Order: sequence, then C-alpha cells, then structure tokens
Amino acid sequence: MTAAAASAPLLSTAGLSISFGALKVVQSVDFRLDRGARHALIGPNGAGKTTFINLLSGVLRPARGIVCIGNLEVNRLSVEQRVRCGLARTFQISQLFRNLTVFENVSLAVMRRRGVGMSMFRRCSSHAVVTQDAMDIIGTLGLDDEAFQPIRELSYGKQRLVELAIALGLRPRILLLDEPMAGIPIGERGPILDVVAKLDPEIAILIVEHDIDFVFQFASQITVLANGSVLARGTPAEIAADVAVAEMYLGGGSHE
Amino acid sequence: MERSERGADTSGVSAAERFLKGRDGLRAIEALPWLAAIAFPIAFPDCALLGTHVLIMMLFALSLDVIVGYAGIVTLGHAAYFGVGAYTAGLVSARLGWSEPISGLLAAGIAAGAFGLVTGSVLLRYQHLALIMLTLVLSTMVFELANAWADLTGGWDGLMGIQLGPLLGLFEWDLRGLTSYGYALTVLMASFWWLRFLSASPFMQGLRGIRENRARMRAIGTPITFHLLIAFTLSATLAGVAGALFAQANAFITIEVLGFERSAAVLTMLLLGGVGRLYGALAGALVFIVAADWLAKMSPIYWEFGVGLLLVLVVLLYPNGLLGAIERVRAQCRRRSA
Repeated sequence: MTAAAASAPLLSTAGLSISFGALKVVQSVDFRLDRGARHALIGPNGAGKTTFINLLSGVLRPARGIVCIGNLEVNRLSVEQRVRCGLARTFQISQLFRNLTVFENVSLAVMRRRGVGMSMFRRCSSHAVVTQDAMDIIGTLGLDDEAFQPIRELSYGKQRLVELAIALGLRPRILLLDEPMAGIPIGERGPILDVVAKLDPEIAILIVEHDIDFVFQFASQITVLANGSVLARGTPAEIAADVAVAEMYLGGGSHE
Repeated sequence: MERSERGADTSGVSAAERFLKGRDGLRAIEALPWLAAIAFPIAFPDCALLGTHVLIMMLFALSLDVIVGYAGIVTLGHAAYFGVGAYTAGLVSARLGWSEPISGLLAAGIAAGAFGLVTGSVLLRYQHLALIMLTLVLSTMVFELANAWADLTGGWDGLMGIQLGPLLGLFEWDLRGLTSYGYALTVLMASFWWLRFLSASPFMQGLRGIRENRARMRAIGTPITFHLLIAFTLSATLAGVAGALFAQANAFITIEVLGFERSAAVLTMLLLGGVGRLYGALAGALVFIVAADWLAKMSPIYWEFGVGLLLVLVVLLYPNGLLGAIERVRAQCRRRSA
C-alpha cells in the first residue's frame, strides 16, 4: 500500500472544475488513483459524480484544472485517445450495441485493443485471438449461455454484466465504474458483485455506487462528493466516523 | 462450475467459430441470383437493356448500403457521387477522346472516391437531420454547378459524343446491349463479392457498432469520424463506378444523373429491399425498376403513384424490407419444424 502510494498515481486531477451555466457542478477537485486502488466515489444525487467520471474519461473538458494519466496531462486528449492510455469506463445507463450479440459486443472492444478494429483484409473469424479473448471474458462473467443472443433479448441484470464485459475487453489499467448495479434489485446483485470483487487486483478502480454496504466492504479509499466539492476522503473507517458525512446523509434523510 | 470454466476455453471458442460461420459464411443459395443474372440475357436477349439498367442501379444501391445500412448514416445526396463518376467517364471519352472503357471506369471510381473523401471529411462531422440536409444541399450545389457549366457538361441537352472502343479490345458494343450487360454484370459481381468479403471484416463490424451506439464506440477507443470517412469514400467510389457504367452503357448522359430524384430513387430501392444485408440492395433495385417499367407501360403518367404505394406497403408491413420479410418467414418455418 505504502509502496504504491509513493509511486506516481495512475490517474490524478488537480483543481478540476466545470460549470453548466451558473451551476458549479465540479469544483476544484484534487484526486488520485494508484495502481490496484479500490476507490469509491459516493455522495447524494446531483453531487457531480457522473460529471466527474465524464471529465476523467474525456467526454467533458474541464473549465479549470488538469487530468493526468500517469505523468501525462490528458486535458486535450479525446475519449478514444484516453482509452489508448489504458482508461476504460462503464456507463450508469447501459450503452450497448443492442442488436448485436454478447459475443459481438465484447469482440468490438477486443478488436480495438488488439489494433484490428479497422482491419479490412481479414474476416473476423480469422482473428482467432479476438475470438479467444472475447470468449474468455464471457466465460469469466458467466455469460456463456447468452453469448450468441442479441443484447435486446437479455434480462436487465445480464445487460449490466455485458456493460462491464465490454470495458474488460479493453484490458484497462484504470477502470471507472459508474454505478454498475444501478437498477438491479438488491436480491439480484450477486453475480455482478462477485465479478467486481474478483477483478484483477492490478487494475485501478474508481467506482461510483449508492450501495453503502458494498462500498464499505469493497473500497479501501472513499471520496465523498457534495455539491461538486470533496466533502471528505479517507478509509471506510474514517468516513464512517466523519461528522460532516454523517450529517449530510442523516440531514438528507432520503438515502436508502 | 469447474466444468463450465474448462468449457469456456474450448467449447466456448468453437461455439464462437460456429456463430461467426453462421453469420458470415457462404450459403449455397447465394449462387442463385448470379446464376439467374447470367441466364437472363440468354433467355431474354431483347431485355438486355433493361437488365443492364437494373445491374447498374444494383451497384449504386449496394454503394449506399455501406453507409446507410451498415453505418446508419442517411443521405439524400448520393447521386452527387454517381454523377461525378458518370461525368468523369463521359468527359474522358467525349472531351479528351480517350475511348478505352475500363480505364475510364477506373478514373471515374477514383474521381468519385476523391470527391467522397473531401466532402465526407466535412459532412461526417454532422449527424441526423443536419447531415441529411447537408447531403441534400451538397448534391444540389453539384447539380447546379453542372447546369451552369453546360459548355462542358452539356447540361439538360446532354453530353454528346461518348464513344467507346471495344471492351478489352475484343467485344464490340452491340445494339441489343449484350456486351453492356456482360460488362455491367462483371463489374457488379466483382464489387459485390468484394463487399461480401468485407462484410465479414472487423471494419464492417465496427460500422455496425457505430450505427448501434456511437457513444460506446468512442468509449472503446474508436476514431468515429475517421472510420466513417473510410466507409464513405469506399461508398462514393462504388457509386462513381455505377455512374460510369451508366454513362458508358448509354453512351449519353444529361445532368439528370446528378439529380435529387436519383438520390431519392436509390434510397427507396434500398429501403424496399432491406438495409444492411447487401442482398437487399440487389432485390430492391430489381423490384423497383421492374415495377416502375411495368407500371409506366400501364400508365405513363401515374406510374410513380404505383411505386410509392409499393414502398408504403412494404415499409408498413415489412419494416426490414423484402429480404427482411423473407428472413422472418424462414425463421418462423425453422421454429415450427424445430
């Protein structure tokens, strides 16, 4: 832990800010994610969590501040260039290729990572490594039975697994998970909880999640965002003892 | 659990290979349209002219299928590329005196492709309604340019003096149009089988991904505009080749080749046949032109009403076009027998 913290962070921000009109959605956020990190981002609805993810992944450009991947400042890099730096994300609202099969969904990501996404001179079937990688991921996530079904025919829970499978197809060093369990009933979260818990320990993970029990069990670091600023950060034990966080959640009253 | 994990390594991959073979593999029935196309002029030598027109529009519709069917980009201006190809092939013969047909065809493909590359790099920055309007505006501008430049293009009076040497130095152009038919069929088959091979490639799979979900394609690292630009250039090239065939087969063109009606007709053919499956372009062009020819004989004034009615009925009853309807029936039969 100390060794990892001493080296340069895989992903970091300094003074990151963005406003939508007069609304300051993210305000001077300093943040770092180390190799193998298990970091959770929590906060009430509208705290700016998804906006923060969009700033990290390049969907949005900050008004002020910087985003770095390793030592590289990536403010001006597009979404696809940041992917090539090893950053992958999932979406709170599933972004899937609905008329393609699970296998085809994962294959598209694998083809990009393998650098054959534009290949015109060989058939998909002759890219054996792509097929192998895609089926490995599908097997790991327990989607074998649905591998050749179009996404639109899958249950919502399975679709959320595919959402994750596509990101894993990129074999990222940094993985941003935006509410991977959003919309799945509490009782049916088992499979995706298992997958998230068993992800390669080398990957640096930032997870946005509302399920506090899961967050406290999964994360080693927690950042609490409120009104776009960092309200608190620390280990789960520190966050649990934090007065301001307790006040916000108790004061808000509506959470869970 | 143990068994399924081991299974993922071996049976999973072989299942994926079976799936890819089912998706992309050749079927025996695919020989049928080509055998029919070869047999057609032998059975009906007097209909070779109409047949050639069908083949040319099949190629044009195929070119459109790459961007409309696979990439999901709707354009109302594809005649611009057809027309650039037609005028390139026409002008090298009529104005430069170059009469060798195959080099004229290649020149037309290159000119239309280059035009597609340049215009596409601007057009493809836009999406949806803005893109449709821009394609319409662009093709109208090209049309008006050709109209204003009537000294060169011949305008509405047409480009006179397209003269072609014998094909490959061997086959004279006959009045019944059999040489033209064979020429158009050869070019169509070469283009089709190239696309048919390409349809199984990661490149075309990527286009389907862009059609399905652009945000996710970006999020997995795809340079969307570049990917689309290559597809657009390829499509424009094939449209130009179709236009060149049209100019050469008729030995005459007017600025009608650049007109909006042609853009609309080719899109109608594709929708009629079914988008994103290549064979839909072939079926749509065939049905559209044969129906239009038949209706025009019945009612020279109101035939377009009949074509419109046909399109409305097909789109309402079979949103995936004629081929989509056939696929649905086949799937139902398979389910019933299973």
